[in-house]
Amino acid sequence: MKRFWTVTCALAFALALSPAQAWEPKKPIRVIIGYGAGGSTDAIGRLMLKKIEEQKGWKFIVENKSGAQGALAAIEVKNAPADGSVLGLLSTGNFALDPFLTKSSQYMPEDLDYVGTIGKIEYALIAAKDAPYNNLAELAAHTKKNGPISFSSTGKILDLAMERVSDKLGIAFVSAPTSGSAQSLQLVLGGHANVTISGGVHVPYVQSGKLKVIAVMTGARADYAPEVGTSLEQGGGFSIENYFLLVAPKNLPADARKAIADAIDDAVKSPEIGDYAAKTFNTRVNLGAKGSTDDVMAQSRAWREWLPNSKLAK
Amino acid sequence: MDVFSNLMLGLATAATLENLSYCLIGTVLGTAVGVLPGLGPSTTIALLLPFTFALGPTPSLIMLAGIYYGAQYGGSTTAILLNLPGEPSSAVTALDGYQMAKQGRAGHALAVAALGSFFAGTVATFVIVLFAPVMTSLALEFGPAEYFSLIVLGLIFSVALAHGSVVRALAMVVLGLVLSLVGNDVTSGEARFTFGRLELAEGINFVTLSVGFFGVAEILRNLETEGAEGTATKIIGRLLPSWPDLRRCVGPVLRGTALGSVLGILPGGGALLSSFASYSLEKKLSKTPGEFGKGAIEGVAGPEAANNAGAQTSFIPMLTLGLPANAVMAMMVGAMVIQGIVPGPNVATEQPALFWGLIVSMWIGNLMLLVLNLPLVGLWARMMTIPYTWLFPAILTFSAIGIYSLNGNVFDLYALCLSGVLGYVLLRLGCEPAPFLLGFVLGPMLEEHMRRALLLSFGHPSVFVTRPISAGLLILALLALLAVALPAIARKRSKVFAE
Repeated sequence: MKRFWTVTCALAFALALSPAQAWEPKKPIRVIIGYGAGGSTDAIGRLMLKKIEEQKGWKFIVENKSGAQGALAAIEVKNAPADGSVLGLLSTGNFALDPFLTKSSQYMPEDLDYVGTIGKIEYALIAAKDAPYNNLAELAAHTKKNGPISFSSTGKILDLAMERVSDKLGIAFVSAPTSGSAQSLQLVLGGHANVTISGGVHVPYVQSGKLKVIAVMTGARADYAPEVGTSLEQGGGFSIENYFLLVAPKNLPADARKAIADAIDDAVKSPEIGDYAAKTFNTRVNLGAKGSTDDVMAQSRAWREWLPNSKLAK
Repeated sequence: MDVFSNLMLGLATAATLENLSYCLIGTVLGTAVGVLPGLGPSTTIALLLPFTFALGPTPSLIMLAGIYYGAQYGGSTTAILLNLPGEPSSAVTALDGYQMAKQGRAGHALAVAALGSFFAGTVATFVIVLFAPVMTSLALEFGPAEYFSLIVLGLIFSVALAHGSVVRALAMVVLGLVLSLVGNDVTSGEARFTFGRLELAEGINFVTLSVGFFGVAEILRNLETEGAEGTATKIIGRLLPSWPDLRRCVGPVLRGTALGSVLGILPGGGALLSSFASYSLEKKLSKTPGEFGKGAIEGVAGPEAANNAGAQTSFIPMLTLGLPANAVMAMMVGAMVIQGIVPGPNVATEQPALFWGLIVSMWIGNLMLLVLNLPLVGLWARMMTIPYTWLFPAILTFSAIGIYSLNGNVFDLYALCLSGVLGYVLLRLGCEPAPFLLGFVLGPMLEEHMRRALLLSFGHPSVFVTRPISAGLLILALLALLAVALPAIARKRSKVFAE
């Protein structure tokens, strides 16, 4: 009997010490990435998951589901059980903009929970080194005199960003969509298109002097081209805030949501993610669960207000 | 930096024990997946990508590259022995290789394919070493108008090389083009012909379709022959070809290598277009074009050399510009990104050991493949002695696993069944699947580049003929079309004259 009490006391003590039963996944978590294997989202996502495996001892099963520009992945996460066993990795634009571009979207930004971000994609408007314009004002003046320029576009969000800036400054352009930023870069490098908006992959070409930055399309100036102003500074009135975004099915239990958000935050803070983001010219940043939810909602409101004005969105 | 010191650096990198082992792993794995229909290098590389995290950049790229060119060897083995091209680029090899196998000359076909591939691989490696910088500027000249004209040329080629009725081949190309329209419109992103299915938003999957056409349909056709267990291909025959045979192959191999080296650099075409182009070239140059499709050794030697050269030189735009020429190269780019290397002009200057090590490893890998594959051909060929009751379910299973692993969609499996049945029906109607598949692959690119060229020229269609490279390619296409028409005229004429 004495022994019984000792064990019970020890157990009670142990329970009292453990912090309010932190949530742990019961089985490996499926992570559905809305982009192809080896792409920039996939690469940084897998690195972060590996970090969580090291730090927390959780296990992940990664699936790349790149169909329908990420819509398939978004829908799969939306329909998954909300118990922390399934996560998705996409980007802000997939939720804040894409659902409003088709008539019959099978998901809306409100249909999911947002649990954090890994980094921000550093977009810039770039042109060939010898282009006769160096900033947005000169670009506007050039098109007023010589007619429209050609814009090689890698995604709808970039098309719309270019349209918003152009409307504001009076730049005339024709958009030609491509299937990837590598292709867009080749068109500009080969002189087949005048400008493009690229997210990071252009940096080596800027550094080697083959391309130049007309405007940084995000909120702050870029380290590799500190002399170039952002589109906001140049009066373009719009900047792109696109994040590598982690999502979960709606109404995740509070403890699971917190544990997952914390795990993401710890991993994103690791030096490996910092190094990797720097190497690929993206900015490491985690907005957190609340921050990324607010960001998606704010951006989707802004896009819904703008879209009726857009000619390209039709 | 001169060529010699670059090569020495590459050799020093590639010849370390670690890198040699990964090269071996890659080539053996590549041969294996090349042999297995439905499990191609794209699937394998995609499946292996996550594991390369743990490796350094150089060994992982060496291994992944080995899978790619190893699969070219393996793909031709099944093309010859089973008439099942493990790889789309081996589809041409199957035309004459399988016929040779039926005549009991499988050994010759396999040996010629391996030797031709090795020779082409060696030459292509040196092409990369010598011309990578020069070719960088050539690739840049290619804008949308040039791509469009190149694709038109490729489609005309595919019609030219189809045996049998030109009209049927044209119809197949058009059917391929039509099916390729399914999916998102390239310009507006609006869904077309998808019947509201999101699985179709990105179009019908090429791998599904090709496995259906070449794998499932072929099995269905084989089932017609009752009690058929193994075909004539059981007999491999002598491995080493006779001198007259070898001499017949010298020209095709040389021409195939040259053609492949050039076409491989061009994004989009790559190994597939090279083998098609080489086949039609050899057929046109041959004194006995009637033999083609019935077991002409030139029809194996030329395309095999061409697709290996093309596979190899398609690394040039990837390594020098970071531009993937095909799906596999896109994944190589991905592998570099995973390692924190940004593919592009900086790779050669900032990572010379990686750059040159990879190039030299390709040559070493080709040597390994030759040494491994020729003696082991008997082993692959033993697949023939496996009764169909075992082989067919195995192929179907591997095909299904391969297809399912692409996207994890059950929908793709239904699509596989459907395309198998469609392929069977077309086979019974005497329509060739090759032009159909090429039309299907090149369709989206054709549309994309045409519309992009028109957008970038602000709507002037003259862009296709005013740009010299584009105009030259279109003229070539026109000539090829005339050449297709001519033999028919010539045959009629010769009949008239014979009387």
